[in-house]
Amino acid sequence: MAKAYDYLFKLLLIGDSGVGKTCVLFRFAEDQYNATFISTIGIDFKIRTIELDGKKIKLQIWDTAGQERFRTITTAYYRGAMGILLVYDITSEKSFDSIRNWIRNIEEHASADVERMLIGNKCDMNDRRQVSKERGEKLAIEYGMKCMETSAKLNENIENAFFTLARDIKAKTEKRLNQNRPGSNSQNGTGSNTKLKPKDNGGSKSSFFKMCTIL
Amino acid sequence: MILKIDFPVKQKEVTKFHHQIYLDLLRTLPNNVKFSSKYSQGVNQLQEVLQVFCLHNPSIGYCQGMNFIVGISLLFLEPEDAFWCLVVITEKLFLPHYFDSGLVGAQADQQCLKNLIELKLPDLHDHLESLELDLSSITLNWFLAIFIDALPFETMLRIWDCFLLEGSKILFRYSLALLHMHKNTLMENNDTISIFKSLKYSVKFTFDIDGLNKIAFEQLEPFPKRKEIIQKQKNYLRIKLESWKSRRLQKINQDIIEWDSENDEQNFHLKIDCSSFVDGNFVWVCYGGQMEGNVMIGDLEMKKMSVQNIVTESKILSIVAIEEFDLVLMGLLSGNLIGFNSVNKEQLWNLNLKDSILNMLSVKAETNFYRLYCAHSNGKLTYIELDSDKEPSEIFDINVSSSPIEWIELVIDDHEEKYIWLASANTVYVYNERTLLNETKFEVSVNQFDHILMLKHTKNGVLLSIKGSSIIHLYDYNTYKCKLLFDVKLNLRLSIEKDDDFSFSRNRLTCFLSLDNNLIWFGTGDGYLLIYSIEIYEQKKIDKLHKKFSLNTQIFKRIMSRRNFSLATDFNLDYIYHERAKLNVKRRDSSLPDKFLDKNSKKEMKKFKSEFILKDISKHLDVPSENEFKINICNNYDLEYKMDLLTKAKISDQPVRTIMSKKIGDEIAVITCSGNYGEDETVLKWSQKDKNWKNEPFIEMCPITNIPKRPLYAKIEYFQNLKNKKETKKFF
Repeated sequence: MAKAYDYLFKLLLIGDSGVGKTCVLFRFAEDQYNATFISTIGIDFKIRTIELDGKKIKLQIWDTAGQERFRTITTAYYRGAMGILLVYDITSEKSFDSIRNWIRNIEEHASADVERMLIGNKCDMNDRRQVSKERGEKLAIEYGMKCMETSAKLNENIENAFFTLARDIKAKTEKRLNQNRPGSNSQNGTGSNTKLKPKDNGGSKSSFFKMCTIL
Repeated sequence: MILKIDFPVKQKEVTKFHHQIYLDLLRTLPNNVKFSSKYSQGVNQLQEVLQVFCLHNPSIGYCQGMNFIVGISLLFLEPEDAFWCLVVITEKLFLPHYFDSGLVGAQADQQCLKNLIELKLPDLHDHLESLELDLSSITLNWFLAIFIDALPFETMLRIWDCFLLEGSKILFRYSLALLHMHKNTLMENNDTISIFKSLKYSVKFTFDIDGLNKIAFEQLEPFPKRKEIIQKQKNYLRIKLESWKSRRLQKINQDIIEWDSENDEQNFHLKIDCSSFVDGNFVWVCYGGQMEGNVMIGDLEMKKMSVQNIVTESKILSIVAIEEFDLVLMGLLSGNLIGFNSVNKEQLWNLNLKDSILNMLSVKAETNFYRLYCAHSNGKLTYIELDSDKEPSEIFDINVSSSPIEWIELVIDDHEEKYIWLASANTVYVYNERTLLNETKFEVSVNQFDHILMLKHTKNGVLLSIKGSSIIHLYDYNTYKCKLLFDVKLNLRLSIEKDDDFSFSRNRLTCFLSLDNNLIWFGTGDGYLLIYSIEIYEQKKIDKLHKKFSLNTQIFKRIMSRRNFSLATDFNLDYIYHERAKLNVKRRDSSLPDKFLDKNSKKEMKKFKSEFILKDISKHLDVPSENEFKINICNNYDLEYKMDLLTKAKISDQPVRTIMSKKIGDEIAVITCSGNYGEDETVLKWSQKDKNWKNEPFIEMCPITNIPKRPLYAKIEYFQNLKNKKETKKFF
């Protein structure tokens, strides 16, 4: 049986209870909005295949329970995740404050090179906003990740968020693949080759610094 | 139970989960008309039942999943019955710890299910194993919410029927039956996603209840007996519980480290200043910096201690407890005297005495009446009368000296007369305790700039030592004469380190204590604890072997006298030494009268260190003539004291700060405090077992979680690791 996709990316949605993780996922996977969801218990998943630069990418997205006591179960899924979406609710200060804890959780349980993205959901409810866009951006910069405000209800930025994350993971994966077999790279076309060059420099630079810190 | 009554919704147990319950109210049965809006009857009842359950079982509180159980119950039952239904399900039908904060029971059941799959559906098990696939992603929901949303409603209700009748065993039976039913679909698929997807999908459409029952109760036979399943469940629960507990402990420890890292990192260097027994079983240990004082309270029996929520405006220099009034008094650097209630640890009053309180002494005068003496750095002694835990009104000041009074000691002489001995600079002032009249004063060293470290009353006399010196003096309290000089350093190191006159000697005494049975405890600057026994002999009976450890023997003299010399390699340094000698030489060694420097010892010294050119500096000094000495050394005693080292132990790298003792029952408990706050084993409890003294450390507990805190070195290591981890991460 031929593979129906070129890449399989495992993504994870985390964030406090009630920030709309399931709605975001439902919007992305089924392109529907449904206000009558039941609370997620433990873990759930959805799948969607997207196309990026001519490659078929299957996204396997895990949706997690937000309640604190489920963390023992959900953290088991961090390890395999290649991308993590940290979701907060722009109408809830508390859910934004928790992001730091969630990041700590990622640092503890996820692999070190996981792609992260900050999602401020429910941006359709601007009148009840408690977390300004700037604060979200500031936090994202602090932890070196991208950030986006979304609305599952109005379908704002949902596609964009998942596509951006998928693109970042794809770039990272391809870079690694190319590094692993530099000879067999020529088929990919010159375009990608020239693109990779500056990145290669960056790579060696970082390893130089790494040496420095060890010393 | 009638749920309509006003129950205290604002109780801590409820408010903790209020938000989570609120979030889930409309996410329970959103398509049911009774649960569809905020104002629906079912939603209100759901909220009430869940909140009452939080009160009923605070250790579980509210866990997502319980909303489904109550929601389904409410479709058929009155709220009260729905509540009891929830109680039975969570507390009787499921394993313990099923819904509580680690979901340990639920995870144990998943292990158990896995084991049963292996037993009853080995081919499926192998298939899943080969894919490294963990079914619990799906099956956890089956158990936690008892198949709600996983199965068609009717099928689910049939399982509920059996479940309520037979307990959680039935969930295994149905889970296996479902897997068995859809086994072929699962076996066909070869990747995780499609297996999960097909399982979820086909289970969702299991309308064939009778078929399912047939598999569950006929085809799966022989199914493991209830007992066997319970045994399995229990085993897995135990394993899970243990690992969870250890992980949680780690996690909480980490949280605490991060939580108090900001406060604590600054606190690490905070020195332990003083300590006191309070109410028999507790010990208060004060530590702090210039601008703050903190208190740790240790439990003598449990050997646990925790930081209290007591923060004073400056360093706590002395602490005294008056048990009769449940009163703890703290003397601060700022000159404030603070009264605390020892039971509820609340501040009762705060009195400003204008000058730093260096030491305090409380003397019981009669019942319900105490006299408190506070020694001040301006040389005054404050006398306070206390008859209750109320703020004292009668305060008197007595001018004692122009130097700070650093210690007050109650001395009772042979005629049962009470005196207080005040140590100020190198002078001891003796006051009558009743009349507060100055009886006498005497100097204990030549150098006026010496400071007496502390005084301790023993039945042989009063022990004292000079700050920075390792020599202990024993003074007779009738004649005020020195009966014994003893250098503790003799027992600390054989090769005597080269002292310079500008820093503290590592061997200096930092505190000492005398016990009733002629035991003397010493704490030193380099963290040694030495226990000596004093024995009194008539002079002729002295064992020669012990002689070298007491006064008037050659070795002692030689080493003592060395301190009055400086060794120089060059004559040109003469002037420097001359100047330095003027300033400093006398500071450290002056507890020894120059009388001991006889010509013989000088000669011996020369022999001892022949490679150096020995220079006698005292030659250049204006040494006062012998008549001017006020130090009385008693040489012609009939009795001689023998100091015998019983125990020597290094208990810290930092100075030993305090030693104190208390009789508890027949035993004597000694508490030593050393080092700084946050270090490992700073507070030790010593007890005597078969003549040996053994110590047990106090463990510092976090006051919030009651979990042991990591000691300083572990914290530093943790921070280092964290930092390294973060740094390496940046480069990925």
